[in-house]
Formats: sequence, C-alpha cells, structure tokens
Amino acid sequence: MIFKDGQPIYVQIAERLCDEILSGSYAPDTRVPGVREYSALLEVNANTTVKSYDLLSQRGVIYQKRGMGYFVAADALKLILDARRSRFISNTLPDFIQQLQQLQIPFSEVENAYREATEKKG
Amino acid sequence: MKQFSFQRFAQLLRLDIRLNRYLPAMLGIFLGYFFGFVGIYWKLVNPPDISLEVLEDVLAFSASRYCLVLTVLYVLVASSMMFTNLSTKDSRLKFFMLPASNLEKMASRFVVVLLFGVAWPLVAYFLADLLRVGVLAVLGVSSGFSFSAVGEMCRQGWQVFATYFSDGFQGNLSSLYSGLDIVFGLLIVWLCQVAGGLIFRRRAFVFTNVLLFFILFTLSWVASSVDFVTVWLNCHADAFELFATVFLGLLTLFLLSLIPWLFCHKQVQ
Amino acid sequence: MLQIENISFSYGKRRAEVFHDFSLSFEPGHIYGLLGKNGTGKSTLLYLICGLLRPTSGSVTFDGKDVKLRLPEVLQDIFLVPEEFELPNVTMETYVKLNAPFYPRFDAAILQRCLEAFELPATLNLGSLSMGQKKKAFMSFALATRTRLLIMDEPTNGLDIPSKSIFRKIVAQHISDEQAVIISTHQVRDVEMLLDHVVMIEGSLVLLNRSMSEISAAVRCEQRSMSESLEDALYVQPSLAGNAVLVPNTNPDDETPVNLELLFCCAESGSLPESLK
Repeated sequence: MIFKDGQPIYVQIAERLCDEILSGSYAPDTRVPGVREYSALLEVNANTTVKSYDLLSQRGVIYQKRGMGYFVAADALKLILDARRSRFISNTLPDFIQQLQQLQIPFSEVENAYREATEKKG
Repeated sequence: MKQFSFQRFAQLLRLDIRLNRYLPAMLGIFLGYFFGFVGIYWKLVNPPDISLEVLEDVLAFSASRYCLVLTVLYVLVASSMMFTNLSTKDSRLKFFMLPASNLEKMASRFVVVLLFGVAWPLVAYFLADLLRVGVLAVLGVSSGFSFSAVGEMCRQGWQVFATYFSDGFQGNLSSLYSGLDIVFGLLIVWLCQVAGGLIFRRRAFVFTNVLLFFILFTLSWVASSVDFVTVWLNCHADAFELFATVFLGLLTLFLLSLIPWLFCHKQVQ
Repeated sequence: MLQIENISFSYGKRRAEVFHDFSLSFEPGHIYGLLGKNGTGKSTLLYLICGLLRPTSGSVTFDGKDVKLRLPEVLQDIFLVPEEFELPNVTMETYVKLNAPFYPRFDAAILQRCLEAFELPATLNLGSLSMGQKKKAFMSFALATRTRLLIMDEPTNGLDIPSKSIFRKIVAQHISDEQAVIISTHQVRDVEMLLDHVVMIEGSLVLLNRSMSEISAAVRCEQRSMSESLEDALYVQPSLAGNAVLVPNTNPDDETPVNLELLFCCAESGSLPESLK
C-alpha cells in the first residue's frame, strides 16, 4: 500500500478497512481479514495493524470474537458515515469556506455546481 | 541439552558426504595405488634373465613398501584436510551456524577423514591389487597378491614395536621410553597435520610439514653440532631419555587440547 | 532475549576498534531495522550477534547463554541470511532434507507458501539460480525455520521491485510474536513499513534506538513549500514540493508517518531532539 504523508500509518490502515466496509466488501457480522493477513496485504508491521484494529474496536466499527478474529459490527456503516460526516463538517468544510472567501466565489455558484452534479448523476 | 547427540552427528555426516565431492579424491587414491603397481610390475610382462619367482618376490617387496609409504601419505594429507571445510568465509559461516555442538562438528569431520582418508585407502589398495592381478592374468602372466608382503612387513614392524614394550615392562626402562617415544612421535606428527589444517587456510599440508621439517632439522642440528649440547646429552643420556619421553607426552597432550581450542575459537573472518 | 553488553571488537590487535563498550538489546515480537552507512560495522555486529566473531571484551547473550560458545540450543534459534552466499548444487527438496532436521521448529508449509509467493517452482535446483532467485529461495528457507531470531543482511539487495513487495508480504505474514527479526540495510525505503523499531549506528555510536511509535510521537515529517518557514526544523532536505522537513512533534495526537531517510540524515548530523537521543 502506498501511504500518504499527513496521517499516521495505523489511521490510514483503519480508514482503508472502513472504505472496504463502506463499499460492501464486508457485510455486518462477517469476518474481516486477520491482523497478519491484512499486514501481509498492505506490507506493514503487524503491530501497526493491531493498532488500527484497536482503534476501530474502540470506535465500535469492529468487534473481536475470542479465537475467531474480528467481525464487522451491525451498525458499522452508520458509525463510519457519522464519523466521516462530522470530520468533514469540522475539518474540510471550514477550509472550503475559507477558500471560497479567499477566492471571492459567491455561494450561488457553489449551489449551481451542486445542482448540476446531482442532476447528471440522476 | 546434551553436548553430543548421535542424531545430530549423523545428520552432520549426511550433510557433509552429500554436499562435498569425495569421489574424485577416492578415484585419485585408487589410481595412485594402481599406477604404482603398473609401474612396479611392468617388468613381469617383459622379464629379465632371472626366474619369475625371484622377480615376483622382489617386486612384491617394492610394491608393499611403495603402498605403505603411499598409504601413510594419504592418511597425513587427509588429516591436514580435516578442516578444509573451513577454507572459505561462506563455508565457515554455514558450518559454524549449523545447530550442532562443536564436539559433534569436530567428530563428524574426524569420521569423514577416517572414512575417506584411512578406510578407503586400505580398500582402494586391495581393489588396485585385485585389478593388477586380473590385468596381468589377462596378459598371460600369473602373479600373486601383494598382501602377503605387506602383511609380512606390518607384522615385522609390529613385532619390533611390541618388543620395546615387552622389554620395557620387564625392567628395561630405556626400551619402554623408546616405545613411548615412537607412539608419541607418530601421534604428534598426525596431530600437527590436523592443527596445521586449522591454522593454515591454504596448502596446509605443505606449510605444516615444511614448518615441521624446519623445526626438526633445527633441533637435530643443535643436538649434533652445538658442542655444549652434544656433551651435555652424552653425559646425561638417562635423564634425557626420560625427559624426552615426558616432553613428547606433554606435547601430545598439548596438541590434543590445542585442536579443539583452535576450532572453538575460529572466527568467520 | 538478545543482550549485547559492553562489547568491544577490532579485527586485529593493531587495527582500529569497530566497537567500544557497545550495548544493545533485542526483544521478541519486533522487527528491528539496523541502519547505518556502508562500512560502519553493521555486518560485523550481525556476526558478533551470531557468535561468528568473538568480542574482545563484553558479552553477547541469547536467553542468557553466551553466543560465542556456539551451543546447539542457541544456534537452533538463530538464523542468518547473509548479504552474499553460495547455495549447493542440489534440489530444494534435498537441501531441506539435509538442513531442516537441524531446526526443530521447521515448517515445510511456510517454505511452500513463500516459494509460491516468489513464483519459484517446488522442484527448484539451487545451483542454477540467479542472485535474486538464490536470495528468494534462501529467505523462504530462513522463514520456514521459524527461529526465534532471524537476521537478514541487506535482504532486498538484488531483488526486483515486485519481489521486494513479496518480501514484505511474506515477512509480515509469517513472523510470529515470539520471533524477533533484525534487518540490516541501507535501502531504507524497502523495509520502512515493516519495521517497528529502529536502530541507527555509526561504528561504536548508537545514534538512535527507539520504537517507531516513540519516534512518531517525537517528530513529524512534513512537506513544506518554499515559502513556508523552516525555523522549527530539526533537519531540512530539498524535495519536489519544496522542502522535506523534520520537526519536533508538539501534538502527540497528531502523528505523521516516519520518513526514515530523513530521520537517518538528521541523526547523522546530530540534530535529533533530546527525547530521541
């Protein structure tokens, strides 16, 4: 896996697993890859992956069944989307608004662009 | 965990024999005997003007002496190659990293030398002699085996050697010392080959024996040419005899402990 | 597990000491990176760890036993993959038959999986391999021995890029929590993600000996544009975006991945923050 600069590796790994859950690769209450398996896939140290899984366990996105591995929580999708929404609203949105102000783009342009994009998708 | 596990030792032997090429050396040893025989027994095919029986005896005698010398040479060379598996850095690394005790490793190399440097030459000699008799028979010449001549030589040598000890135990100390000197002397020459193989990485046999000859030559020169020493030796012959035997015995013990020490302290570089 | 205590070593009585009063320890469950410039004694240290060289003073012990004694119970748990080596002209099957019995924890299934991952045939002849293939075959065997200490000297040297990736995968997959791996390399990029502990040495000097989590808690690696200030930088390296900088980490909750190359240059120039020294 090619890692980005900004975030710690273990966070990026956790986000990747969340991406997979969101895209439907792992349904609720199904098993996700084991720590070693996922480490091998991403070519990272297993201890790093353990941290990622711990992070996701804490958030409630996955849960551990003794001796059987990690499983997707029933409400994982909701949790992930909620977390990402709040991150977007607290991090990305203020930056976006600041840029709009810097470049003096009126909100009406943003609205129009949004409408066009959603209409195209139909 | 025990220092010596027969299983590990056997596994070491297996590894050694399978990965090293001993066949060329074995063939070379055999040919050494056979071509010697060819050279010596050539006359049987074109006999000069003496009876075949006499000629045969003479030739058997020459052949047995030649084979004895060759066998001793083979044993010494093989002994100096006991640790030839440590000659390159790569082979040293591999051997030292093998999970076996130092004792097992040394024992396995010793057995290899025993097999290919002592047992095989005896077998090869036997086979070469057999082949010689067969070839001569094909050429229309009948000839006996040279074993009996060799056997006779060995028996005579052994008798002389044994009398040293039998006389010695009957009270002739000088005889006893001489007997022990021979034993220790032979052991020392052999142990020097092995130690030399550990000290010199290349051409160990050459370097060891050149050094040995140099030391012996110097010692005997000193003993015979330096007046003070010669006189002293003559005056104190008895004491010197005892001293020499004890010295040789200690030297043997020293070499016996030096060799494992050298092996255990050998480094990869 | 492995304790190097106050060792000193030189190659000859008259030659300069490679190590003087040098100490280091290694515990299971970690993959250590041993980094240092060429010629700084990395290989020498590895040989000292394996008992292939004897320190002139001090000791190297594995589970309390001195490695220079070359005891079989210690050697069974140490495997060294040297930078350069020869393989005998036999098939892999024969090689396994001859060597695997010395390693009681040997697992043939691991060997099989690694060879498959490297796309090496099961009926491999070890004598007819290229340098890269030899490395792959031998590394597969090394992983299969499951020794508690696995040492690799420049493992990615001579491997093509896909093979480096496969190397990372099989190491991540097959190393258990009871094992420690020491990877000595100057190709830092190849193994960055595998490491969880970094040791940087320069001869006798330990420049850095920290876990990756300690390092990422202490420093951040950022890409800054040319116009941004460099006042707080511990170390600066020009990059495509402007400058790659190493700065102290003021917010432990906000970590960045560690750029080992940058860290190494910083360590060499002596600019590491106090918390990492």
